[in-house]
Amino acid sequence: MKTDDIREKVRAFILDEILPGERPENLLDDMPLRTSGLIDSMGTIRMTSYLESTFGISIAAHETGVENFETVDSICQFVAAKMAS
Amino acid sequence: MSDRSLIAPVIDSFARHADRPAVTDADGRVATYAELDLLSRRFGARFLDAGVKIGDRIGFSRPKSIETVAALIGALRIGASFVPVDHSAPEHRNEHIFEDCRVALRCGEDLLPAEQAGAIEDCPSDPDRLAYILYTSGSTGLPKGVPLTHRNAASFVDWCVRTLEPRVGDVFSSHASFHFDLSVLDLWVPLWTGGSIAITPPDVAQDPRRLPNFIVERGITNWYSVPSILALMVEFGRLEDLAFDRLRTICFAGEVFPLPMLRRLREQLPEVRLLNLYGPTETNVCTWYEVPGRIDANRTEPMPIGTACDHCDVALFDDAGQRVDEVGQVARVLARGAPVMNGYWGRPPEETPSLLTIDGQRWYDTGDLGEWDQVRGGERQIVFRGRRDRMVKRHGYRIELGEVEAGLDRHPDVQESAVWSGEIEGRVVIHAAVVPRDGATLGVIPLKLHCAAALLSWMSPDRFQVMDALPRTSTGKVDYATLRGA
Repeated sequence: MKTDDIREKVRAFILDEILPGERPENLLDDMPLRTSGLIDSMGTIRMTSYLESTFGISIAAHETGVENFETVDSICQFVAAKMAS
Repeated sequence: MSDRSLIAPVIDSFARHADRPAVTDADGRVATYAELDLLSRRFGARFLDAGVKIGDRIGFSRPKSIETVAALIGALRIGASFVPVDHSAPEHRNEHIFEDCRVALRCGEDLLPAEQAGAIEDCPSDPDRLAYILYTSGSTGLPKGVPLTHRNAASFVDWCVRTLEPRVGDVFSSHASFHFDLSVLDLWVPLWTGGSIAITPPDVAQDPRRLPNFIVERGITNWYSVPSILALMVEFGRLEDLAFDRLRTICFAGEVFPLPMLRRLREQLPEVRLLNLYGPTETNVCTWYEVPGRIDANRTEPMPIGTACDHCDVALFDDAGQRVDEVGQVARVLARGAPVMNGYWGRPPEETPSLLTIDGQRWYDTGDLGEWDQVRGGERQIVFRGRRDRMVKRHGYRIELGEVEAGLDRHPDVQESAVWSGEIEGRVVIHAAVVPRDGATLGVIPLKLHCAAALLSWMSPDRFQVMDALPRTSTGKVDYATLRGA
């Protein structure tokens, strides 16, 4: 899967499930999601299981912290690395 | 045991269980009863040095830790009471709480215990002395204080001890925050009975994949949390991969446990006692129901909230104030007796509509609706049937939708707002409609960011819609029915 496809699916989840009603251009790929409170812990749990089933990856409990889940960019990098490994 | 003092049985434990573990911190650090005894006296000495007197309130805004537990105990030992708040909550909210109950001292993380405990003496007990105030969401936008006395709290803890039958050396989970009423059981039941408190690390507390391991590693014997955390563990926690050898009891409270998830928990942990505890902060736990070893395969609705605990009285009443004892009639759930508060902080009982006098007895109207149900082959049980007002529960936390509206209205570009709740796939979802001020534009992201700063995290709406005007009824009130249908 191409990086662009990953990005599209990650953005679609956030826009549909976390920020419904927001215009796509307002979601910036480097916008802080966790530390800002835009995504809470429940949102992270739902996103984790979405990423696992969508991309066929397995995410360990300790990998769901801010270091991987803070921005659209970091989530995409994390997913791409998981898929490559 | 004791039904008059929350602290006297703890002081007994200090002597009887000196070398046993009392608290395990999030990082695994252990304090024995002897160490907790000394540390709590050092905190007591610090509070006295700061001028705190018997009957004063101390505000606590600090993370859970051995030191925080010791400080709460220290407050009670000198005859003061504690007012715990969420240290990550918006500052203005905690500020309001501490001003509302006029705390004599604020105990933040930077307040250290005195170097020496000195000769502090335990204050003689008084069952009617305030033990703590827990603040809950208020419909007008300001949190309201629920003051509970030693008698209120001790009668509940005493019931827990008789019902859970803890053993010396048991390990109790501390999952809930100290400002949340579930923590009363977590803290005081083990401290009364020679058990220990296992503080859940904050990053693990909300992570259903890591919690099961934490339960096993800490050797937890008694788990207590809201159902939503247990449901997440059932769904994501791979419980079948672990052996919960020490776990004997799981208590849950604060919201309805959806039956499919409870059924899976029952099947995965067939040997563990599962107890549904019910009661708002104002009454402590006042009814309970023990989930049977096998849940009837034909059952579809949630388990009952049960019947009154033996330290209080719970009954159903109709709107005319008549007691409802027959099966099948939805009525108000009222509670009275030792664990029930005498009134909200700073508000006379006679000006508190939820405190009712019926046949000379004072009852607290929970605002919940219930119905007697004849469970097949068993005793009659009360089944929960929703709310009479605009309060909703999420992750067990009470949310007055009026408080969410008041928070939204503080946004400089919001002229007015209306908030209602719904359900998506069994999850409680909070909807908000907002009307921008003239010329202003509002997006979902700025509104969410505003809510993250202005409200407690679990109060933040999930769905926003921006409207030119709110729909109104013919009498000019916000038309929530139309909003729900929109």
